[in-house]
Amino acid sequence: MIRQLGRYLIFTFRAFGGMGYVLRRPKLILNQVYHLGLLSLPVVSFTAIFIGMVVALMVSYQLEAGLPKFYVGATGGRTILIELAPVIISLLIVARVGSNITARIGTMKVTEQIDALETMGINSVHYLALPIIIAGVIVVPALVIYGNLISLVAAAVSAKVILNIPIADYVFGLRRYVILNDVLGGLLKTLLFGLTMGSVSSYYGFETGVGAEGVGRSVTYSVVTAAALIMVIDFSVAFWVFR
Amino acid sequence: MIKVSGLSKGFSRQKVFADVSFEAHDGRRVFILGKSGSGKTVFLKCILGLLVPDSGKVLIDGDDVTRLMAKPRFKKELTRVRQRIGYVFQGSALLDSLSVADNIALALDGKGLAWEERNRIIDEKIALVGLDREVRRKYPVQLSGGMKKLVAIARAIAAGPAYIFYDEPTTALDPAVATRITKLIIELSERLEVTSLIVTHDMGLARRAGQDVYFLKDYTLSRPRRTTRLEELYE
Repeated sequence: MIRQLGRYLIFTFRAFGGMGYVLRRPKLILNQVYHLGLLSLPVVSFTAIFIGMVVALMVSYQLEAGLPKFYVGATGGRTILIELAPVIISLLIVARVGSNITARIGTMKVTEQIDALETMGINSVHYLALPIIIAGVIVVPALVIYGNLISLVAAAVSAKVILNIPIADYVFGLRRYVILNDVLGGLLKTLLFGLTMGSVSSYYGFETGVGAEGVGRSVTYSVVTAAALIMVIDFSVAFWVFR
Repeated sequence: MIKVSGLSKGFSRQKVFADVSFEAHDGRRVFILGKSGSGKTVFLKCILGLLVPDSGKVLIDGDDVTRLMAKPRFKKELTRVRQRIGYVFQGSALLDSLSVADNIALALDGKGLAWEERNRIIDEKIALVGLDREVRRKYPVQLSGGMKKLVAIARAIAAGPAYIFYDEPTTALDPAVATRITKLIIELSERLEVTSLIVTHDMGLARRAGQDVYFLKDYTLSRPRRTTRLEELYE
């Protein structure tokens, strides 16, 4: 495990060595932003709506009778911004995009496409992995900001429609208790989640063994590792920012 | 010139070849014949520095490939050596996500060519391998096996290499396409004055296009005598 970690860190470090190469070819990054970001919008929207609705219901359920209703906005808003939207949306992106990246690079490896790049004098890690890592750092925070907004609106609507809590009360709680640190802390996580998703999924793609079985194994390792690292980063940022 | 001396390679405990020496002289079409699984592709990849040999030395125009691949700091020099070589992979190895034109353009990456010049070269190479210009917009998934192989050859010659390596160039192709590719190998070697190194188990191809023929068998590379029939080597 230590050896794997070392290899992963060296891989990521080497990938960043190609920054000049990739910045001279912005199309490589834009392609990845399109695949990682734009194509994830429907699934992120769907998930964010349900995150908002569930949070409103659960916060209301846990509030003791007699407590003011704006607490649904206060507690729900903070839960969404700090924890639920960043983590769930990032895990979703790992499942949707990370697995796809690993499978794509793994297939390129077993079909000698990566060897072909190397024979043409193109550093395959710079060409394939770095644009994905950069796109991950751009796209995951952007998708989470978008998911935050959708979740907050969905929570407000469900509070009004299902729990009969006035939207004005919900917004009051949100504005009174949610602070900038909550939003920034949540976004800091997503930067690290994006970096992790891009680098882990690319790394396992390049580590793929022989044949279809090798690709399948890499995808499993990639998704499990990225998801586990997201939880570790989540705790670390919470410990550092919100303690 | 390619000079290989004392090259050995194995995986885990399985020996692939041992103490192999050979030379490929400039402008020649050099064939390495051998049964499937005899280690021909591994041999080719060791020469190119895609696989690390266990021992031995590979010199390409005097550049020691084995030394260059030993340390990451020699990566740029190794890249310069590789850019003198065009490689036609057995499965063509075209990038699925790129069109034919973009696949060929990859070989011109980093040469700082203007867009028009790049396109001119792409069109020229597509024509040289006998494909229609319309093919440039297609993606590999839209091409037949033979067309993929021709695009792979166009990509291999795009940067004007001094050497072309072919890995099983006629495998899994129908006889008409295989004949077309055989003629193309001869034509390219004469017209572009490149050194061609071809690994194959196709004796017909070796008989029609081969100038120097070697045989990889029992972990070693040997040169059959003039009187030896190629079929005998497979027995």
